[in-house]
Amino acid sequence: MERVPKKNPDIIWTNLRGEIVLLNSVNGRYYGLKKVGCAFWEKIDSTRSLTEITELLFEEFNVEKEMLVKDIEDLIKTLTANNLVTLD
Amino acid sequence: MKNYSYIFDVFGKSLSISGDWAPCLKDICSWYAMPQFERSNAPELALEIAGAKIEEIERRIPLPGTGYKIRSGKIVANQDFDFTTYIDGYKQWIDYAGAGRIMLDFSKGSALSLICSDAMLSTYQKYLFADYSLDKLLTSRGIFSIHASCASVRGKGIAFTGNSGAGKSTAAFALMQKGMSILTDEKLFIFKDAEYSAGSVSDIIKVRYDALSKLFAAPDLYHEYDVIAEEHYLKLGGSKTSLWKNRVTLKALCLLEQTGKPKTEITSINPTKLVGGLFPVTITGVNPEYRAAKFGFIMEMLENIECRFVKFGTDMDDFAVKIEKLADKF
Repeated sequence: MERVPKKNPDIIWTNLRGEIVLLNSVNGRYYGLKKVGCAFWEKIDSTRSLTEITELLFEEFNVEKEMLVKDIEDLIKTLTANNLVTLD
Repeated sequence: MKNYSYIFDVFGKSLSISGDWAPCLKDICSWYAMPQFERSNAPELALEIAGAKIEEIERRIPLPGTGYKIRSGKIVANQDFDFTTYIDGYKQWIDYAGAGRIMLDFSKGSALSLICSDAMLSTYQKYLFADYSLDKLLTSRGIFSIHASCASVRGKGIAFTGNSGAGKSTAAFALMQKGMSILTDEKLFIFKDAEYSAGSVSDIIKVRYDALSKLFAAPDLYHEYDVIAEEHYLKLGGSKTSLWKNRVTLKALCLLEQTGKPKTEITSINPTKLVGGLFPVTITGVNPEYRAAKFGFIMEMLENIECRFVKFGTDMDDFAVKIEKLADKF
C-alpha cells in the first residue's frame, strides 16, 4: 500500500455527471468508473501512495476502513490488469 | 478508361470524388445522397478511386514498415479479405491483400484508393474504398460517425443507439412508417455548428428479406439499389414518398433495449450508459490525436443533449406516439 499509482498517459478520461469514462487512446478500449472508483481515479496524482489515497477516501466516504481497503485492493488489481495505471 | 469526377457538399465541406474505377464511381451519385457543391476551385477533401495493377499499387502506395502496423484481420464481404492497417503520424494505410490499397493523408484531407481486382462485389468496394475513407477524412475535420439510427421527429433529431439487435433499424423504420423522415439506420455523423447536428451521407438502407414486409408497408415504393445474400439495399430518397433527410439538429440520444412487452417506456439515463454503443470499432481506425478529439467531442455532446433509456416495446404505434411526445419536450 506504500506504492504510488500513476495514470497511463495514453488514457484520456472525463467525469460525466458523476461517472468517469476512460478511453485508451492507443487501442480504443473504453472503461467506466463509478463512485469510489471515480474518487480514487481523481486522487491519483503520481505523488500520493495507495495508503494516502485510501486515507483521503476514508474521510470522504462513511464506510468501514477494512471494507474500503479491500475495495481499493480489488480496484487497483483491475486498473493495473487493464493497463490503466501503473504502480511505482 | 473513363474518368469520373464529382464535387459534393458534405455538411458544408467540399468533397471531390474522382478516378477511373467504374464499379465504384459510375453510380456513386446514387450511392451517396449528398448535394453538389456550388464552388469547386479547391475542394477541402479529395477522394480518388482508381484501378491499378498489383505491381503498380506497390509503386504508387508503398507501405510503411511493420513497426507502423496497428491492426490486421479479415473483412467478411462476398468472401473473406485479409486487411492490414498502418498509421504513421497523419498518414494511414489499409492494405486489402490482393484486392486493393488505400492511403489517407489527413493533413491534406485526401485519400487515394487503388483497386486491382473485381473479386469484391462493387457494393462492398464502395463500403471499403469510398465510405471508409470518407469517414476517416471527416473525422480529421471534426465530423464524427457513431453507430446509431436517427429520425427527424417534428424537425428534431432523435437518435437511437444500443447493442447489436437492440432495434436501432426497427425503431427508425417504425417512425418512418408513421410519416417521419429518417437519416440513417446505421451510421450517423455528428458535428457542431450553432447546436449539435446529425447528418447522413447516404439514403441507402440495408434490410433483410424476412424483415421487409414487417418493416415496410409498401417496399415497392423504394428503388432497390442492390440485393446481396437476401439483404436488400433500398434507396429511400427520390421516391414519391421520400422520407429521407440528410441533416437535422440533434436533440436526444436514446439507448434502446428490446423488452418483448407491448408498451414502450422512456426514462432519463446517465449519459455514460450510452458510451458503449457509440465507440466500438469506429474509434480505433485513426491516429491517437483524432481518437482523443472524437472522445472529447462525444463526451461534450452527451453532456449537452438529452439522454434517454428506451425500453423498446413491440407496439410500434405506442412507440411512435411516445417518441413524438419526447420530441415535443425539446
